Amino acid sequence: MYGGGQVFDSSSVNNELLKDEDPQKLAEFEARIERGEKIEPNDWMPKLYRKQLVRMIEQHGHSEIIGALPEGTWITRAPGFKRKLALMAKVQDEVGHAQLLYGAAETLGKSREQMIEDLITGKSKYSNIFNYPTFTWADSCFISWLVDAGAIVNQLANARGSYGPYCRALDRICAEESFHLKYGHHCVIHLATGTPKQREMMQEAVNRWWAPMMHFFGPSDKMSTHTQILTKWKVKMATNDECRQQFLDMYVPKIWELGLTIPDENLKKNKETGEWEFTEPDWEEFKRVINGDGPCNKERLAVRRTAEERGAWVRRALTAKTKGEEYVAPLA
Amino acid sequence: MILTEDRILEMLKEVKDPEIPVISLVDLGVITGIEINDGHVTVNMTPTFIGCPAMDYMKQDVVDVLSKNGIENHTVNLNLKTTWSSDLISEAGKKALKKFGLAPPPVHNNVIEDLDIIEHAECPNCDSINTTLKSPFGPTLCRSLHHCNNCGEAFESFKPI
Repeated sequence: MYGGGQVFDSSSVNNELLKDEDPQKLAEFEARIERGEKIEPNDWMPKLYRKQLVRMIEQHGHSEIIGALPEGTWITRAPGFKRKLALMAKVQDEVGHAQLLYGAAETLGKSREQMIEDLITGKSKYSNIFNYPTFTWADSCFISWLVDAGAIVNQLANARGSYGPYCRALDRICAEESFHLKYGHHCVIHLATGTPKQREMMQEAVNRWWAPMMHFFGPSDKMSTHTQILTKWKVKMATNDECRQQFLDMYVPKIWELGLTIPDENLKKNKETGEWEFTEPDWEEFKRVINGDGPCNKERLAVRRTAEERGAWVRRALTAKTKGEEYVAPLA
Repeated sequence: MILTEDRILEMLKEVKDPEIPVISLVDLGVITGIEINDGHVTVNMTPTFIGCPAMDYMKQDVVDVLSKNGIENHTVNLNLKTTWSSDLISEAGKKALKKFGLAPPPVHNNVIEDLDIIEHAECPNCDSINTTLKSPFGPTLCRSLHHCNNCGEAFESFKPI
């Protein structure tokens, strides 16, 4: 999981930054991307490219960290030992992905400390969907299956991008995500084919999460602008609508197959265009939640902030250079 | 066709690690024994870590491959009597890991004298040994996180265990 370009704010693209660039270097840079080459950390790159990539990779990292919270609270309450073990490992995977992504963003010059600072002060965004609560085990199953599925759609697209370290990290992340998807799908199948009470619980989770899931891919392409240069530089590899359509195409039939319904009576595939038609989700709500006023925004950041404060002594101990007492890394 | 250990190993090369799809369970050293008795095939598997949550999925994949190849008479065991070691990863497996961007573990012959061994990893992207350990724990227990000071790659390493 969990994120990608969907929290991307295109209004942040400031073409002013391009004015001072050396036209020859810029042309060479664009030619390399055009040829399908990857840009590496020590290569020349325009300031705007660096800025947008840091932003995107960092937000992806934050989404992994924050995304671990709504699922993580279910570890102690997971039904049975095997589910508990699997969920624990999945959550560890996600936090590990955040570390990988922060590592990739660091290669562009922003420190990890600064990224975490920007997360807990609310300066950086993360995937909006994690500002909603997980009331039941079925909510956690929905995330493991469908939110991960959405993230894979996004990440597979981004993995074809132009920045080497990000693409390589995404390749490995996607391999792990496919395993999460399998786990999540099993969990949902279990409930959807279970007792009437279990089926009801799963259906309620689908009803609760459908709108946030539609928001997940970001505002409709009709509403976002200025992404042309990012497409040209292979920073943004698929539009929000393309990702949403792909997700619907792959997963709506699978959801229906389980006898679950989707709370949108207008949802159907147009046989002529091959496109899915649906009720436009409430973008005002999306804006409100992403700007801090969702059901769980405060709680999520507070948990992260507390972790940061409680772990401060460990970081101090690690960096303390007391003679003869240097830190030795544990093996396992 | 006569069933031999080698033939079964060859079949099982189709079963990949669920999170690292470039390496088979055979090359990873998770398949720790194959016995054939009167046409009954027993496959023993040892997880990299005892708490490995993917074990059930891998076991099922092994069962599926055996069935697909017409071997209905089989038992797949979880073998916890022996422990897995990173030395069990084959040379082909190590190459595949490196290509996937995971630094393969150094051979240690079960003698790990210094815990600092984990701090030394070769960058899978540029082969530099000028790298820094960022975290002894990665997405899974069997991996650590590193940074390459030469090419800037953020990479993972399979731990020597």
